[in-house]
Amino acid sequence: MSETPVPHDHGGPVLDRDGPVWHGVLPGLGRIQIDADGALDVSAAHASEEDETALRHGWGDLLAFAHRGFSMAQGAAVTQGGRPDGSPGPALLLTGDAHDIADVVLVLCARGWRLLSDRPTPVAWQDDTLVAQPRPAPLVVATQRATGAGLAGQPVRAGSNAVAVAVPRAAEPAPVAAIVQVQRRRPDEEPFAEVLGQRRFERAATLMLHGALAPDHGAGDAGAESGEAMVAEHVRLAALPSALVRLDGPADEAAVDLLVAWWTAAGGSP
Amino acid sequence: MDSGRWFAVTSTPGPGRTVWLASYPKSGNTWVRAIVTALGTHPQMFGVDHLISGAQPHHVSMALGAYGIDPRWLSSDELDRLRAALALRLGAQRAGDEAAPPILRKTHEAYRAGAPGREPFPLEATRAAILVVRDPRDVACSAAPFFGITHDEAIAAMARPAGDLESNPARSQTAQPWGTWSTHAESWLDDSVPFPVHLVRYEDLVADAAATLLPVFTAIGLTCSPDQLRQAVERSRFERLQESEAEHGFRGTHPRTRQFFRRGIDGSWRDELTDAQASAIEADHRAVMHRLGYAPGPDLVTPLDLPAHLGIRVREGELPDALPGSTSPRPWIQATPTAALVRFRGRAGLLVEHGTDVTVDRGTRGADEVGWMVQGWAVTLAMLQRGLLSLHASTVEIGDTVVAIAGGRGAGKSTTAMGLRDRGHRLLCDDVTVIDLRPDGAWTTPYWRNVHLLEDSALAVGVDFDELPPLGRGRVKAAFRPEDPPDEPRRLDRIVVLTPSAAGGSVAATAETGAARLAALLDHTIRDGIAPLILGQERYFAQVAQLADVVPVTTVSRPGDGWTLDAVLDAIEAIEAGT
Repeated sequence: MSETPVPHDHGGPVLDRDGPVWHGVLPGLGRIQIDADGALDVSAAHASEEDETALRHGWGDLLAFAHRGFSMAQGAAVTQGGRPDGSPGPALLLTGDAHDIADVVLVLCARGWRLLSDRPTPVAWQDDTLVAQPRPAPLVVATQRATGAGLAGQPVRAGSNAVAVAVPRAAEPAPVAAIVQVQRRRPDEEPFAEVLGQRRFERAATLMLHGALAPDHGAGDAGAESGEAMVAEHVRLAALPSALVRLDGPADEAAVDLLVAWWTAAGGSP
Repeated sequence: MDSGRWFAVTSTPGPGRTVWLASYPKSGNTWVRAIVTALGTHPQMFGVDHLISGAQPHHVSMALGAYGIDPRWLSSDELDRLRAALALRLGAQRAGDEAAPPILRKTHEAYRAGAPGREPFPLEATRAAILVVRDPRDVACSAAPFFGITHDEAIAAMARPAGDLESNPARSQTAQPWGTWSTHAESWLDDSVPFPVHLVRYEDLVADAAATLLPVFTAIGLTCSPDQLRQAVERSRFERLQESEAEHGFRGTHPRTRQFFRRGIDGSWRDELTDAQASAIEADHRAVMHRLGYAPGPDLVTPLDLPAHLGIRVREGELPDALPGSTSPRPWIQATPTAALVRFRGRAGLLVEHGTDVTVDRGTRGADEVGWMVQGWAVTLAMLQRGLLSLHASTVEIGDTVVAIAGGRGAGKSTTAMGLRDRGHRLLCDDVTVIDLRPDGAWTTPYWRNVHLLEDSALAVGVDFDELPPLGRGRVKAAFRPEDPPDEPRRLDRIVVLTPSAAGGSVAATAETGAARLAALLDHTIRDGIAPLILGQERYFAQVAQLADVVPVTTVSRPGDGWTLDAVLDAIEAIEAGT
């Protein structure tokens, strides 16, 4: 996708991330501003707490992380808990369709896991460790899925089938120990497979969001990243253990069993 | 109907770069995408898991990359606005883009204009559309395994817009109305679409994909040489896509799909659908099938169907070998006053009982071959069992008068009736005219049925014989369904008896009186000797005599050879005009 602005007013969202203060306008909903220090200010077009929350969780927070230099990984992060020494337990990054990711998150949270961030997850490299950040937005799932899981979801917007559900949360940054892509299972497909070789590199190449959510690296950086730096990051991401879990329905406990067994064997368990 | 013809009010490309690759699901969209992908991809890099143009416009998750917005937090209306903005962002032409190649985007949605600022397919983002269509009978065969449903369920889904998918913010999707198979195609071919829509038929792709697509690609600015396109088509050959799917998988499938690239042929419905299933699709989509050149045949009356007002129930079943206590006026019929068993070639047959119940055994005959048994013989026998006469005649309303055109086999009844219809008169019934004698005259109840035409007859009345389904083996006659007549009984004003003369001469009309009139009516009501058998001799002759009393009969003789239909029609019209 070209990042060149459309040269006419199409009535759609406007985002200006040039300069130290970023501005965004979503006609009908409101505007956001991210100050030079990363502080977020949201202003709903109509006095509505619901609209402000949507602006904050659905837009402003994401850009605020980018403004602070975080990359946004196209996945949700969950942890199994802290280590015995008190340090944060490793995080599992679940990628794929947000709807499918939520299915796995709900099963894992029912087993005591904690959600660090719904999709997308802010991440940053600390030396050679990819660290996932906690993001306060709630887990968003479809009404039907929440009902199926016995959860009382709160519609994020009037009339929407997207509901926020309360799940246990992790509040501390955690190192990403593995990346697992979630898919729906087709006939004849195995429920779980470890990803190796070229496929792992291919998946690493598409993990991070670019464009509007590319990390800001300082003055004059409008989100552009050099190809060399991107390839170097892909190589580092490809070094992380990676797998593929294929769900046969929304609450596929057996597939998640295989995922957890692999996670434990890979050293992810705290 | 040729592929490549453009529709809509304009052939001028829209101002944008997007070319919507539109199709009802399972119509060949992915195949065209594969060809386009192969055009721009090194042969060793080409695979079905890397097809371009798959970003459907109802998916607005790309807003994360474009604006940093998570669409799950938006309302349906905001999603619609976001969709339009994304379409413009991707497809609106910028300075210097004039010669840029098109951006193809797949969609299964029906076209609609949308509210201002919420246009699903904004003109400013659009250059043109390619509408890929496929015979709906084949679509049903492909959709059933794809969605993991039965053929009947697929057929029902294709006929109801209730299958439309509503706005789904939880999945970052706007609504994506498909419409029915018919309304989907109609929406894109409507004159209100403000950009050119290039029609591509799947069947033409099967026949010669390169020749079909080259003019379309040229029109949308996707430049390639004929050789390049032929090579791309070769790389996208169905067998190769199947191999690629087997090797790499293809995630453009429904979760219940075992294999996306299944058969890739046209006409597979002929051995996958039952006659009833094919008929159901044709009934649902007849008009658009005709428009798109799928020629389902005329709107034939379903072979086992009769209008409700006749009060005859028809079912399929086994027939008895014999009818106890019956008489056989011909070797192929057994009859009692309340039941008749008729045998036809191909071990087919009919059992008609009590004037109301018909059992049909098709034997080895196809569905299209038993219609005449039910619509002709079964009605005649049932009406005789009810005490009514059956005149071997077609009936036409000429102005205010109702005229039955009687005659023996081959006399030209149907041709004459259709000729009168072609002159603007109203065809009430073909071949069987039921006569109900009442104190105020002879009345007939029209009913719809197929007209059976010889090739010459079809030609004479302006019907394309080759478009009609043949009747029986050998394509001697074909079936045509005219418009439905009224259900209400009509009083019969005249009977015209067509009489081919052995010698030459001209068309002549003679008013019959006395014994000649009675004799003319007996010839065409005796029905192979069955009528007196069922009605009883006395009752039968009394009814024919009464008919001769109340309805004038005119014989129209015509030369046996070299006659012209117009002369016969002129003669009949002159009779009714009193000239």
